[in-house]
Amino acid sequence: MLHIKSILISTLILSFMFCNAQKSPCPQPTDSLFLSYYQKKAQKKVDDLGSMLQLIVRKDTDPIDVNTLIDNAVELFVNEDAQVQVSNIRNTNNPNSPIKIRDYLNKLKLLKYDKVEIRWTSIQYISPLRLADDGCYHGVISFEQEFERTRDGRIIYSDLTRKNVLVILKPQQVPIDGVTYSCWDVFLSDIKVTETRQLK
Amino acid sequence: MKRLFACIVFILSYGICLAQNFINNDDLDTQFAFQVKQIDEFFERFNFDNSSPTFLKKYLDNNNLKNKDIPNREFFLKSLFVHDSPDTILVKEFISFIDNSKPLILLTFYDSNWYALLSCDFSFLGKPKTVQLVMKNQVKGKEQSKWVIFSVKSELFKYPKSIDSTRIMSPMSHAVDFMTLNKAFADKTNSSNYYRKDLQVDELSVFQFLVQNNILKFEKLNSINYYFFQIPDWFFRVDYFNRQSNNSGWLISQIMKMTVEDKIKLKKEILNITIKNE
Repeated sequence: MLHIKSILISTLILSFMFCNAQKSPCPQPTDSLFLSYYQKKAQKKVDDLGSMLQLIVRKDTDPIDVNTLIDNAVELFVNEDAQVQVSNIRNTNNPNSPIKIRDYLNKLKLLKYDKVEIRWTSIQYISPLRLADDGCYHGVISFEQEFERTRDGRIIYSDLTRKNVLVILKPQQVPIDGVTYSCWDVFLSDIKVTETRQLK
Repeated sequence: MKRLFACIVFILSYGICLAQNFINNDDLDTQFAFQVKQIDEFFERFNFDNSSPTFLKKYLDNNNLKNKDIPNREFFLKSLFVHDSPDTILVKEFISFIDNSKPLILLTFYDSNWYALLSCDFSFLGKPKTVQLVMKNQVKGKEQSKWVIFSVKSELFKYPKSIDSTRIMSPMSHAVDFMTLNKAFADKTNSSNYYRKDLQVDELSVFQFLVQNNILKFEKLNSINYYFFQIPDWFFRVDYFNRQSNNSGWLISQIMKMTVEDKIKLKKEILNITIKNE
């Protein structure tokens, strides 16, 4: 009798485990394409940030939309402590101290010029994503940015900067249809200026 | 979620305008492609593998810039040197050594024998001081790591040699309840007379204490150099060359043939690393 009872309990436990062992819909570190998938996703987020920056600085973007854009741009980052280094051609050897991402975006919003343009290069270098001691994967994307300010139809400032942005791939718990899955998502972090020069 | 959706729609609606906002300048693209932008790219080019092409090779292939030298490891190794390097014979010897090595000599991010030397400005009790931090990628398990401060170098941690050996605490100090301690601590020029003779200052511990207690405050980072000791019989240093040229970014600025003993000496001299703490 005891034997039958223990078989029943074991069957119950196994069926419970089987029902709960749902395969995660997200790529996992054991998948061969895990890192390359998130490398591309990181690159996409850098592109998204570039697009948002262009809209934030446009004078014809509605101020309410600008604030929404700033909120959404900040959500691309790992947290509000992510820092951005800002430079200009008058101070190439000694770039300014980094500022927090939201402060940086708010500064862009308030630029008082007729027209501000930010253009990004079409080519980017992305390093391998490396497993760090915090359990996340870290990588760096290098890209170029052109910045141009116009007043009264004249370009009054323009520069080209090369930047490195740290990207962090973090484990996340994602609820899908009432089931929580272990997934990963990639976020942007600190942005460092590596070079600044005058545009020809 | 709604807000995110609205934002995506908003960005898509501007899509056409944004597409025109990418830089389209072939010279800049070429310089960017040739520049060694990150140390990771340095590793990628050094280990050139035709089956998993580097960023630069993909760029050259996509832009029909192939020539007879491409693709091979020699071409990519050459691209890692400062072109105005005076030691061209040594450079050629090194490239040939690496290119013909069997089994292939490769650099990996998880090698134990490479370091970054950071020259930093600190403020010590309000006075500016330069401190050099030696950083090492500390590996846990197979491929999990973090950068750590491995060693420090600064004049700040040097104590003056005693100039008067007669300034000591009397062997009978105990009888007067060590009342001369105040004189010992005030005598800065002969301080070593009052400590045990085999005292070795652990500079890293002193540094951590000073920073932890806000006595030494970080101001800014001025420069970074990388030192590679892991290739048998060779040592090289990598610096950042910020210039408008295809030969820019992280490049080998110094290369030397070196015995194991010489590497130990050099590590002590440049990085303040001894075999004991390595």
